Amino acid sequence: MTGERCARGASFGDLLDYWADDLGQHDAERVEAHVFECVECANRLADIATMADAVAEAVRGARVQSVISDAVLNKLSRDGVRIRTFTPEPGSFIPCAIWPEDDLIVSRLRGDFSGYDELTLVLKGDEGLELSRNVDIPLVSGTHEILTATSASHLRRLPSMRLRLIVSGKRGAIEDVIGEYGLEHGGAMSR
Amino acid sequence: MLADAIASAAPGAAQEEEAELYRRFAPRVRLYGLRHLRDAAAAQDLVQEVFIVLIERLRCGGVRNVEAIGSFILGTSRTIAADLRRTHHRRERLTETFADRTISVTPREPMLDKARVEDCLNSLPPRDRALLVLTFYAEKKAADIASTFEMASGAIRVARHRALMRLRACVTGESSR
Repeated sequence: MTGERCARGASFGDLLDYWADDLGQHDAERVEAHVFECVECANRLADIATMADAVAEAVRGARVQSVISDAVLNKLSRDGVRIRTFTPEPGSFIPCAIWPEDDLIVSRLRGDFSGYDELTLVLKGDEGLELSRNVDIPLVSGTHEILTATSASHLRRLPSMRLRLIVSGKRGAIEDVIGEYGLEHGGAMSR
Repeated sequence: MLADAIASAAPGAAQEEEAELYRRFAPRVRLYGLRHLRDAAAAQDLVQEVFIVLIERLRCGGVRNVEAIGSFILGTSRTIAADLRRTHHRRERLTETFADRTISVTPREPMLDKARVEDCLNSLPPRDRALLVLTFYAEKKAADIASTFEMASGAIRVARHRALMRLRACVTGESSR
């Protein structure tokens, strides 16, 4: 996985496409035949499989912070991940707390995010302390909603505080705040 | 040549060669199983069943072209995986029947530091992260992701390749190309 092609000329990209089920049957069979003849590509494919499995396991374990789609959310739910969802309105604060049974916290941010060259999502404490910044987030849930997933264990470490999720968008050199969403983080709760 | 040594020895006499053949090809059969059966236990069953057939055929001289043993193993993998998909019961019966005749060598599986993978995944640019999550967790094809990202399918495949390279470079500490 360190080079683009093996000594026999097969491309790493083909191996990845094969693993992601993105090749037609003929090409997939060609890759399979090659892997059974080429130790280097067999090792590379094993490498891809291991990385892919590690990514899936990290997501399944609710340990990845990412924008997600409803399809991912539904799969997480089917996999038994316990999800708490908040839908803060732009310009207002809603109470939120993390309960012991929570694995993943999802915020649904609604607004018109269409037509921007680049979207940035910033998480700030109420006094302006920036806790995270994600530049160039993709719109994976359509142009009017952003779903952000955060590990509950990560949020449990935060003290009670007001949090602001700020989505801004760039058009050319101009950056506008599209929406500010407030969460009254009540800290880690117990029952 | 391993397959040739097994085929020309008395049945069961070339145990070291059989074990070496297993070490070399079992990981590939397992990958084939993971890719087509999407289940780790089924993939491991496939490995066992393929090697039962393979060793028996080699021992009795039933492999015509031992030079192309990889091709034979792949063909056997395809046939048995198709059977496994069609009939779940057949898999269980074969495993039970031949369980005492399998070779007790465990193929080496690559290990990763999970905490490191998570840190690296969370440090990737958001697009890379989302792309890897959609591909490897949600099992979305490039064409599906392309419509979401408003990009061409080919561009998604290139971006996915680069994202995986960046993740791997971070996990292993190697520089990314």
